[in-house]
Amino acid sequence: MTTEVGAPIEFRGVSKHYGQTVALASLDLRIEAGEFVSLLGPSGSGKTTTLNILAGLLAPDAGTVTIGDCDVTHVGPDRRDIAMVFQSYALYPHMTIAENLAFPLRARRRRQPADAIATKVRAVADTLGIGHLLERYPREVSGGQQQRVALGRAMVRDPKVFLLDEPLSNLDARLRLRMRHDLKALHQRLRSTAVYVTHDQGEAMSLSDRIAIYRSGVLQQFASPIEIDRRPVNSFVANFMGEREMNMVTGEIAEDAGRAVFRGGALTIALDPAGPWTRLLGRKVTLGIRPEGVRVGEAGESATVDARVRLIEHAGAEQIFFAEAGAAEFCGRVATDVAVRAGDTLRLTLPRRELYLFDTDSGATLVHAGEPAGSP
Amino acid sequence: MTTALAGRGAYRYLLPALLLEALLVFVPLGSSMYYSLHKVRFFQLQEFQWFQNYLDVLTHPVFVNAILVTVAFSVTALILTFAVGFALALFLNHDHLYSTILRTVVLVPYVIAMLVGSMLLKWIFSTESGLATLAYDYFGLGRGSILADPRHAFAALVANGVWRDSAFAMVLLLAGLRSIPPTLIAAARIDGARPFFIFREIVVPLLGPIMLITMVRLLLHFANVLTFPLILTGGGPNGATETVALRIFRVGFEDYDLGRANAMAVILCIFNIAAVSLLFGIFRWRARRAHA
Ligand SMILES: Nc1ncnc2c1ncn2[C@@H]1O[C@H](COP(=O)(O)OP(=O)(O)OP(=O)(O)O)[C@@H](O)[C@H]1O
Ligand SMILES: [Mg+2]
Repeated sequence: MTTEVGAPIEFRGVSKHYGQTVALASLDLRIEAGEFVSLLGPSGSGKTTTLNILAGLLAPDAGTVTIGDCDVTHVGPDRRDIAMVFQSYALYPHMTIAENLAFPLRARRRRQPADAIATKVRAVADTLGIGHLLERYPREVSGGQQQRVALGRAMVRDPKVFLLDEPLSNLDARLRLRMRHDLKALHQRLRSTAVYVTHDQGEAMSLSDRIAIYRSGVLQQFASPIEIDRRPVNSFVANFMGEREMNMVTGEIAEDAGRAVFRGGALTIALDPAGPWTRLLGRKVTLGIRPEGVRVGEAGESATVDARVRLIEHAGAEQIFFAEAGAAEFCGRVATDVAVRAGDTLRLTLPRRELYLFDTDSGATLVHAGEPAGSP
Repeated sequence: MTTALAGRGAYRYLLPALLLEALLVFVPLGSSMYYSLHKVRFFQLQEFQWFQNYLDVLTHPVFVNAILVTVAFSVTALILTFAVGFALALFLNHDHLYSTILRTVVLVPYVIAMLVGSMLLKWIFSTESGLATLAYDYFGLGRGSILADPRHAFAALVANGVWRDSAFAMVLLLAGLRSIPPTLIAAARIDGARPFFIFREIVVPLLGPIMLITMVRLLLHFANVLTFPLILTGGGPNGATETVALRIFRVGFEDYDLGRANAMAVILCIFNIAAVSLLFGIFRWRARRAHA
């Protein structure tokens, strides 16, 4: 394949409505050439809409889309030089695998000679390990193989931009992991720009250079996986990322002996004195900590809370506990060799660098990973 | 394809269907053949006379003419109806308000009774009250009567068929178009295919079976239809629109010669089978060529 890098992509003020439904609200997004970007968000949040607008299958109500240096807002999908892998694969059922792979080459305006096409198809099929399936029809190969054919059909043209709409969602867990790995390797080799839609944050985290998080048609945050994990812009993003929901305790910012503290439920936690708290005194806020951040029985200058264990779940090498402290419930993890049972009281430690604080009304982050966010 | 039932056991399940088929198809067909081998006068079965009836009708120029008219009418009407129906289906394959309304409008000729439809067209084409004559006048095309001129009358007959049955073709083909997954078309567009390429490479191959069914249904309908020529043209002028079906009707129920009428019916039946086999053959050949 080529070593040429893909094209940059830019959305400027792109929106799409279906009657009263806002599928996409004024999206501004710039994806660099060769970047691997995931679109992540709950169902119906506008991910597919973004992809379809980029592909040219859907016309936006407003705004412009740029690929490379060209404004493609009004350019048909056949002239955008993009390739797309559909969730359903969309293989042509009446064509063999070889014919499917050759289709984008045959459909081109300036068609290559037949033997050049055949060579290309062969090469792509061998790269993906489906060389022995060329004469079969799509219904005669397995789901994972169909998925490779769909990928191959996208690769065969050396497109500048790759769009993938949940391409792994139909596969079993093992195959998903392997295909994820293969995808990453493929992207590193091709260096085309890739936009990847997924529901699976693990997939997004491991594949992407940057992740765009959507909610109800609005882009919430567009940043690297680490940034999203450590510095989520609001409680929605913080809660959406991570394997399990974040522990949340509602309360307010109060003053205690001249220091700003968070007070809520049975908790009183001192806040970083450097933070801009005086302005926020009395404000309703929500304290958040991920289950992975909660420690059991570790001393230190961190805040502690005593909680009664309500439920234990066994998850492989660890146990997940749910423990109540007043009105608040904490979920956390302990190793399997620690003896805990429902009804036990645990002393939970909440290390400062694991704490997040959100404005309860707006959801905006006030403190992430123990550090005050920029002016809220 | 092989199935678990591919054995003699399968026939048990087919038996009820076969019995019904026998009752409704083979019994009438058999009695028709039986009659065709006899001399029949005013519903009285007389002596057995081998293929005399067949010999009589096949050597009769009026019947030979009827065969030619039937073939010409079936083929012309089939091609035009299929083309118009396909065009309508492609054109109305959207979910806009206007296409929903238009789809209903297009169906009107199909849902009103054939007899009524043909009478309506007869009024339109007739010299005395005809709208068509008005149009002729308006464009200065003279006062020639449409139904009195052999070629115009034939065209009117074809028009009757196209007018009524395009809607039928449209409904079947539209259902076929709807069954093509939209993502397939989207994928082809992204793959760089232009509309005509998509039509040729994706739509037509996937629509193959439906197209075949539509053509077979249309062909059988046109080859056997009685109402159009009987009502619209009466077979005239001078036999220019007298189809085999109309000829059978006349010989059977106006001349009461059921022996010859049945002989013609059997010949028509053989023609039907041959025509349908030909269609199947063409489609199979196309499919094989596509995968060569
Ligand atoms: N053709 C349509 N007509 C009306 N509403 C639509 C249409 N397509 C999408 N929507 C709406 O637009 C919103 C965004 O849809 P979109 O398909 O982009 O979601 P998504 O993020 O891809 O969701 P999922 O993860 O379930 O695929 C949804 O509320 C959806 O109901
Ligand atoms: Mg989607």
